Amino acid sequence: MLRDKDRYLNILLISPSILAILIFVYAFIGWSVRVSLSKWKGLSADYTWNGIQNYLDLFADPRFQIDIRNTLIFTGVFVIGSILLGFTLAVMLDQGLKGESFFRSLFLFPMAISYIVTGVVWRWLMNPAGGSRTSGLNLLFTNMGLDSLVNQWHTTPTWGIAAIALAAIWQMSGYTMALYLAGLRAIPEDLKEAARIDGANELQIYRHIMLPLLSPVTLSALIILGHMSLKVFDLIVAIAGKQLPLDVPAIYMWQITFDGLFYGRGAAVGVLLLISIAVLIIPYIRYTTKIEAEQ
Amino acid sequence: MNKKLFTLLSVLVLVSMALAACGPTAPTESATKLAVGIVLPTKDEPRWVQDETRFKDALTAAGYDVEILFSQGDSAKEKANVESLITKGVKVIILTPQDGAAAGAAAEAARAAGVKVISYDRLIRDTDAVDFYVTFDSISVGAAQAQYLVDNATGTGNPLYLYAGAASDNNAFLFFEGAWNVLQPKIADGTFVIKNSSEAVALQDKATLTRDEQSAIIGQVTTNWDFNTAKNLAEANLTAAAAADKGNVFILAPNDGTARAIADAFGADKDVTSYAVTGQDAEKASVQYIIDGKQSMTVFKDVRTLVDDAIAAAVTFVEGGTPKASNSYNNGKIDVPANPTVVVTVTKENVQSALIDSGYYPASDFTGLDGASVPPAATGSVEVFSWWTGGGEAAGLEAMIGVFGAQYPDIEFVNAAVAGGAGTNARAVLATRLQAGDPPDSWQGHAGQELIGTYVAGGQIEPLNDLYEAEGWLDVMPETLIPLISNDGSIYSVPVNIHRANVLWYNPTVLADNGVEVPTTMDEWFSAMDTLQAAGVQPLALGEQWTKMHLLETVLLGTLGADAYNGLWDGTTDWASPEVKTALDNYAKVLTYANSDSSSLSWQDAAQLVINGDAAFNVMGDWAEGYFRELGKAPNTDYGWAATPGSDGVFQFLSDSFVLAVGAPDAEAATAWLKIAGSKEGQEAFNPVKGSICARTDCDKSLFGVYLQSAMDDWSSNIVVGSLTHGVVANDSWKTEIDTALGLYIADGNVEGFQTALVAACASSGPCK
Repeated sequence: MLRDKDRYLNILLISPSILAILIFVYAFIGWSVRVSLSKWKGLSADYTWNGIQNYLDLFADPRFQIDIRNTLIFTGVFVIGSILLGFTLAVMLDQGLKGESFFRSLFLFPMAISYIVTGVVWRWLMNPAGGSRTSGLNLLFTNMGLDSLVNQWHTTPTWGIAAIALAAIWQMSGYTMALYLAGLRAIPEDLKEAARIDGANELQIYRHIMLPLLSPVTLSALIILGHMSLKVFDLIVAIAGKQLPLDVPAIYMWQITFDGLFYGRGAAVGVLLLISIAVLIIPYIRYTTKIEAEQ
Repeated sequence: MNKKLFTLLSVLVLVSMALAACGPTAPTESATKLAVGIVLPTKDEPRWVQDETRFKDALTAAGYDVEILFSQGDSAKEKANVESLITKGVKVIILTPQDGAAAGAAAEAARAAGVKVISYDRLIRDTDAVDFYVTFDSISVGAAQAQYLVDNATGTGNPLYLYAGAASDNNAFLFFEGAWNVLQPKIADGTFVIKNSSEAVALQDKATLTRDEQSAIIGQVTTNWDFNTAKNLAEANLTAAAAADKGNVFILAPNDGTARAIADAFGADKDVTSYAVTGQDAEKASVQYIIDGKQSMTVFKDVRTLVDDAIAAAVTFVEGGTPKASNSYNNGKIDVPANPTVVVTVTKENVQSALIDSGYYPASDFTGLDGASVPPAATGSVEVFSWWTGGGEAAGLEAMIGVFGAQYPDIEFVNAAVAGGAGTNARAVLATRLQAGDPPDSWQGHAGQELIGTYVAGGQIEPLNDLYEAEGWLDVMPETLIPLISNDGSIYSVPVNIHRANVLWYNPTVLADNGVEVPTTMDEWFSAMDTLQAAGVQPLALGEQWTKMHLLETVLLGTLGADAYNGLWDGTTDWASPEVKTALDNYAKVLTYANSDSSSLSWQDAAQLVINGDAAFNVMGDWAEGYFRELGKAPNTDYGWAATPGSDGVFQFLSDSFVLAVGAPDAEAATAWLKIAGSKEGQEAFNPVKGSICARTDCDKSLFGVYLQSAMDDWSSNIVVGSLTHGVVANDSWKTEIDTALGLYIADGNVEGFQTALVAACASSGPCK
């Protein structure tokens, strides 16, 4: 146990950052909540009480319904795609093949690129133009005789947002791979040995030994990728601009606040985003602190 | 909305197009008549745009056909321009190289085709294929400065202070060399005593200096062409000098900006009884200094004479002669013959005849000239906030700041431009500053409801009716414009430029091939597009969502007519009416003719489909014309234009304008800025560079291209209505709601739902109840 003197010194030393976090994080969250309950519209602040009207308006807004649908599709495709691809890559790299570090860097590389750059490149790759203006992946498919794969990419009705998720998977699967690879490497070799002696084949080892041991990694990956997909903004804007079929809450918040000057409604979107992310993150944080405490 | 992003993409598109443009250029029918071709560096600097006009006027007057092309800062484009002129059969090319060394290949191509090459104002380097060089002689500039000092010195022992330009600039060496040639004998005989350069003192008996010796001196007395450096250096010299080294001093200052800084420093020293200081360039501020007796002389290099000399040389070549050369310049390979253009020494005595009577500057720009009484110059500083940070916009703003600086030399201009997001970032910064009670003096905004709805509602900008009356702007701006930029009878902003939104761009070849006339009504348009579609041609090129809103506003205008269209925005036209329903049905029908990949195209992509013949029509504002010209396309052959169907005689406008802040830190200086923004001179400086027309109807048409001239005609004669997409008719909130309704409509195709949403938007954020 710390002596009292040390305890006071510690509190003194961390107090500036605590104070800063209190003001710049929690006070502003509080302020956003207050704005979301006001009638503020226009450049000058207006804190007239409006109850939860902004939230009710949002849920009645057909555009916000599209946003929710798009977020669900994007999250589903992105999280599942990244985890499957990341896990596959990790398993392949874990076979101890030659040039492992080269491939590891190669797969991790996209993560070092900003979403804007990824977006601009994928905007070209996923050019939906037809006829003589066909280009990017569609042109590749045509030239390879895979005409059935040619598609409208992000301009596809309803499912266009899944095309954006493809670019996001490309960007983040390397990171997921790194998570899994670390997890795989942390599994003691003798566990696998024991299973082999008991007569398990490789598939069974993965199914019954590795996967269960990797479940904390999978949970981390789910949380990290999940909260990223809720906040996605720049990738979509870079690929498709601000267009309604690809609208998500973050774009809606930005546009309604800064283009439309509906500060109240924009703050409400922000608060809803915060809540949805908190629902993901808080149980995770509690879970990890519990594990750490047990250790 | 996302113009920034698409600008980035279009730059990449342009790069690839520039590569494609290196191929052979097709000859045109006017091949035989053309005698002189001119290639200038860039349209972004007013200097070259002015030269373009001067060349065109002078050569046309001399009876020669001329074609003038711009390289836009790109040596590859420059070479393509030269090759295109060769193909057209010119006999002489006047070329101002973008990069002296890189232009060699272009000159050699011309030489190979038997075309004479005149290097204009900048020397083409490292090639023997240059026939003549037209330039001002930098050495004679330095000589003229020194001669003035020599002519005005009496007796011996006169203190001399030397200053030079930047050591990195070859011209600084030439100026200094010219001055040294004249000064050195007078230093040697004791007339002058050098006070501020030990290196110069050590070399004062040497008549001709080597480059290294010049370097040593210039290194000690360089101003770097910089006002502040000059001032600091002069002050340091004065501090170091004893009182006996002052008295009646003589100062060699390399140009006007540094001359004023140095003169101010010497004028403030109590031990300096009098000073003579040289300069060059005849800048307005220095001309005023000369009139006031604060600067002794300036060397005037009249660009108009330079143009005349270039033309004289070209005409001599065309007629088979060789221009007279009195000098030559080594370009690294050969000595290029030249007949340097004469420079003029301007002092208080001849300022009237040299600069005013010759028409270079108007007398009204100066005070104290022949007793002309002008109120004392305003002082202070003005902070102007905008999102003009790149391309023609930034260049136009710079040009206008230049006009401002010349008229109000004592007002400091603070350019608070914020880049990014087509103004979104700037507006966010501005909003923060306004909420913090720290407004800039003046800021940019789209004229109309975007400004009024945002800033008038917040009580943040001042009405400007008095200024409009005092400056007579009501007489020179269209009558129908004023209500669109007013609220309750108060005018709130000064429009600087005008763009037109309701323009139908078409490909003349595609229309002619399919026997289609340019449509003037919605029905004609539909039948034209039916014909084109049947012939397998894409009738309409369309881009991402904001271009769809742009199309919507032109269809609303074309279907409803100007009055009912205006009524939509003031509440007198019912959004739920059957007329609006008809307009929306028309819009739905127009969309069926558009390309299916519209949502992945920028406005440039869509406009390019028309240019390339992949589509027949495109509806876009007239900034598209600037884009077409950038691509090297010619008006009326590569692209044609008309008012969008049903809107002939109506000018749907948008405009950038400046406002006066409530509580502006320096309201007087801000008003001075607004006067410039609304003035003929200011708008003529801004708009040719930006590629837009003046808000005033009295601008000089010859400064503008073919399309813009036609737009100017329409602007002064048509009914003016405002654009929705670009902030004139609806406030931001309303526009955002319409945008959302439009996006939902495009997703679900339900016209009734669209109309219901539009009615709701007008009730929630517009004037409807």
